[in-house]
This record gives sequence, structure tokens and C-alpha cells, in this order.
Amino acid sequence: MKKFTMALLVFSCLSIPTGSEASSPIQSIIDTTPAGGTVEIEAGEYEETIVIDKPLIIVGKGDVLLRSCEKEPVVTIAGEGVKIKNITVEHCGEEEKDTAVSITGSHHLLDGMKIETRRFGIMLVEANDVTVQNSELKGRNRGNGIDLWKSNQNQIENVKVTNVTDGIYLEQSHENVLSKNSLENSRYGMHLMYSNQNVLQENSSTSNITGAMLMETDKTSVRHNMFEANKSNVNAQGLLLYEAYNTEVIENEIRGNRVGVYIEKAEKNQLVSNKIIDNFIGVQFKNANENKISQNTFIGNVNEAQAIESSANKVDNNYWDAASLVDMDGDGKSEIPYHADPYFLTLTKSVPEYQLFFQAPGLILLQNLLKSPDDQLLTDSAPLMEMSLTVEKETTSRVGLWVMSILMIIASTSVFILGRKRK
Amino acid sequence: MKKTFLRLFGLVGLILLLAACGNEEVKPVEINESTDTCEVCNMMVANDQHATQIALESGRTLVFDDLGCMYEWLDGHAEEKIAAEFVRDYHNKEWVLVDEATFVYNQSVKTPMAYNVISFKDKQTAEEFAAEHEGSTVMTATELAEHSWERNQEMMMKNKMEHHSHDQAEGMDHSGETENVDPQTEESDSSHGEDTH
Repeated sequence: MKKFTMALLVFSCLSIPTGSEASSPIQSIIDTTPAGGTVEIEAGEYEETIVIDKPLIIVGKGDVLLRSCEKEPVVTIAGEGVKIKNITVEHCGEEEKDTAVSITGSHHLLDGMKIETRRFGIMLVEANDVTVQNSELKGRNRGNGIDLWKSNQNQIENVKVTNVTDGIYLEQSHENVLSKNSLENSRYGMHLMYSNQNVLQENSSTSNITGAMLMETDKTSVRHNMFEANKSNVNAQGLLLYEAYNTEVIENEIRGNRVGVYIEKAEKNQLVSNKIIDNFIGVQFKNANENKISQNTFIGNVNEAQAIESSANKVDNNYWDAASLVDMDGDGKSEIPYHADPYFLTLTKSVPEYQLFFQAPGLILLQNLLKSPDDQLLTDSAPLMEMSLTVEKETTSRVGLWVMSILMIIASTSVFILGRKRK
Repeated sequence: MKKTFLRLFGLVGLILLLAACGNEEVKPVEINESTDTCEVCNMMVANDQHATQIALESGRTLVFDDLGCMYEWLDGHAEEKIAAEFVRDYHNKEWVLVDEATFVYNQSVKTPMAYNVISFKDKQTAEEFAAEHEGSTVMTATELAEHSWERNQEMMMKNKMEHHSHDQAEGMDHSGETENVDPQTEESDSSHGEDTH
């Protein structure tokens, strides 16, 4: 394979500026390079849009910025086997459908890209087997970061997406793998609609309205992800399943969200071995049946679980930090079933001011006296005695603790002594 | 006699006037993108041409991110007292009463929940849109009420088929488990699909 190295700056200076060639130096090189060739772009800023529709390798040498405010995407990729590396792409158009990078066809690769957009970042339309990796994408919360439509078997790996509508959006797209991505400050981190057999693994979705939203999906695998601090919006949650079926939610960490996992009209999903920690509501069910919730660790949630109009869910062997447990036969499981009671939630819904009484002894007494309606309880038939997962809890440093205690002792004794003297 | 008649006339007039005032009071509310979620599907409601809303007589307003979600809610809440239903013009986002709007169904038009129906204030602009986009069906509000609200064509079909095959797994052999969509199964399911939803 021949390698074409082009010193673009020199090229554009030498050539006589005629017609479109002068205003689009990169495109003219792309057009003259035969399929299978390599185009190297010298460092610099280029104000143009490019179209690549044959197998080419495009590599940025140093800081290459491609910028355009036109209606067309800055980079349009079609056909097969296009590879683009180390290029910064900026689209400054404000129109609703403006897109920085548009991809159709198959077997493409985007590596080491930096993308800035005011609307959409990367749009895949009927594109298959495309890899987007080691890249960064930043938007203005007015369009999706990576948008897949009818696109299958694509890999999105190690991409950092911030400030977009949906970080990665899939519609009618199947068997895609999203791994090790970071999604922040967006509406939904990952949003799947009518898409089946996709894999979400080792992603981190934080400070979004919803960490991941699965709607009308089948056989999605959600493993080893981190859904954290999705809490600033009144409708926020870590993970939302709506009409999702056969989803495997395994070994994720769901921490500090408004609602950890919200499940509505969803059936036959598995929620296994997750850490569900410090959420306002750990797990919330609505019209959700035949789901399995097992071996999860629930710690520090204000309300552990609520189930509305939900039945036939298999809930067992979870660790609940609020449960009273008795293990008589030594099998590590309590003989007393645990009812996760959303009493506090029911109470504060009608009178929000009662939140002041959280964990007040009177309230705990009340909760034991007046249980929530049975149809709202989620019952673990055999809760675990010990947590099965190691959980790192914030611990105050030892020195700090000593200093604090000594100060307290001095303060209290001085009050005691001074008070006596006055008498 | 004449006096009572006049009084009666005045009273009737007053009632009519009040009634008219009452009707005008039902106004669409603004969509608040940061807090409004769809009553049916929980998605955040974007302040765009796809947003719809129902004003209940109780004064409560329900918002929906997609016309289809509104009809799904109507389907399940026949007993609710509704003051008004609003949709928006596809081009200028103006709020319009459902009964005064014209609708276009086109499978290639993207809507938030993929019901693929959009609304127009004027019949003429709806027809223009339909003429420009192949595969469009123009509908009035009454026709829309009869619309089947099929979502995203073959996707939904496939979803349903898989559940269908699970349900029947005992009665069937392993053919339901294979990855490939058997055209025969798909066909038999498309007839089944209508009564499951």
C-alpha cells in the first residue's frame, strides 16, 4: 500500500487559488488519494467540511482543527473502512440537526478525536461495525453526543461525553457495545430505545438527570457500571427501566442518586450483586413484575425500596443495613424476612416538612406501629447477615477523631467547673 | 310579565357569558424542560413541537412528550374529566386544541417515543408536509382517535414476538430461541401483535 504524505500548508500556498479547491484543501487531497491510501494533515486550523466515501486513513499530525458552521457535517463518512485519527472537529452551527461527524456504511474507526458541537456530536445512521474510541466530545446540552439510528454491532469505548442531551443514544440499534465511557452533565447518560442485546459495561455516568435509561429494550446487559450523583433534577435517577425485558443489571455501583433504580412496566429483569448506596430511594418499582432482585447490598439509602402495584418479583439474599436479622441455622441468611417499608416516603409525600424527623425515634416507632400498605412493601424472604460485597465507607481520620474528643472533653469540663464557681 | 321575561333573558345571557369565560380560561401551560416528565413514559418533556398536554377539570395539567403517549393515557383513563387537550403546530410550536388540529402519520418522521405522528394548526400546512414526505397519511382528530398507534414498526413486532415465543415456549420446540427471525413466526405474530397491546 502506498503512503501519500501531503504537506497541506505548502500545497495550499503553491496551488493557484481557483474555485472550490482553494477553500477546501483537505477535500481536494482526499479526492486525489486512491482508496487505501493515507492522508496526513499538518497541524493547523482548517475552515472546511470534508466528505470521505472510500477506504482512507486520515491522520492529524499535531493539533489539527477542522471547523465549520455550515449546514453540512464537518466530517461526513460513508462507504467502508474509513479511519480517522487525532483530529479536533468543531461544528458551530446552531440549527437543530447540525452535526459534527456523520457516519454511514461500515467498518470505520474514529480514534483520538476531540469533538465540539452546539447540537449533535457523532451521528451514526444505518452504520455497522464502527468503532469510536479514546475520544472526547463536548456539547451545549442541545443535541445528543453519539446518536445511533438503526446501527448495529458498533463499539464505543473510552469516550468522554459532557454537556449534551443524551450522552449515547441508541434507537433501533442492536448488539452494540458501550464500554469504559464517561458521561457527565447531560440529560440521560445512556439512552436506549427499541434496541436489543446491547452491552453497557464499565461506564461511568454521573451528574446527569438519569444515568442510563432503557426503554422498550430486550436482553440488555448492564455490568460493572458506576451510576453516581444523578440527583440534581427532581426526576433524577441512576438507572431507569421502562418496558425493558430480560435485562441483566449485575455488579454495578449505584451511589448517591435521587432514585437508584426505577423500574416500571418491566418484566423478567435481573438485578444482582449491585451496590446500592446512599440514594434517596434505593429501588422503586411500579407495575413491574417477575423481576429478580438478589445479592445486592443496600446501605445508607434514605428509603430502601418501594413497590407500587408490583407482584411476583423474586427478592432474596440481599443485604439491607436497616434490617433486624436472626440467623438460627448458621447459613448466613436471616430467618426473619425483611420488609423494606417506604413509610417515610409515604409520610413525607403528603407533608414534606416531616423530612426533619428522618430517623427520629418517634418516627421509627410510628413506622413499626403503622406499616405502609402491603402492596407497597418489598419483602426479602431471606436477607443476608453480612454484606457480600466490600463497601468503602467514608471514615474520619483517627487523629481528627482524637482532637475532636479532647476538645469536647475540655469544653464540657470547663462548663462544669465555671458553672460551679459562679455558685 | 315583561319584567320577569327580561330578567330571565338577562339571567340566561349572564350564564352564557360566564360559561364562555369558563371555556376561555383553559389555557395551555408552558413546558418546563427541567421538571416536566411525561405522565406515561417518564421521559423529560422537551419544549418542542412534539409536546402535548391535557388540562383536567380539577385544574391539574398533564404533559406528554409524544402525541402517542397522550393517547395511551387517554386509553387508560376514560373516567377522567378532561377540560382540554392541546397539541402543537409542527412548524411554529403554537398550542392548538386537538379537535382543531390536523395530523400526519409518517413512519420516517422521528418523534420522542417513535409513534411517528405530528400535528399541524392548519390543514393546508399538514397537506403540504404530506405532499413533500412520501408515505404520509393526513388525519383529522376524529380519524386520529381511531389510529392504531403502532410504534416503530418491526422493532415492536420483534419485541412482542420474543415474548410471545417465551409464553408459548412449553408448547413449542426450540425454534423460538433462535436468533434469526423466522419469517413465518413474524407473520403469525403480526396478527397477534394487535390484540396484545
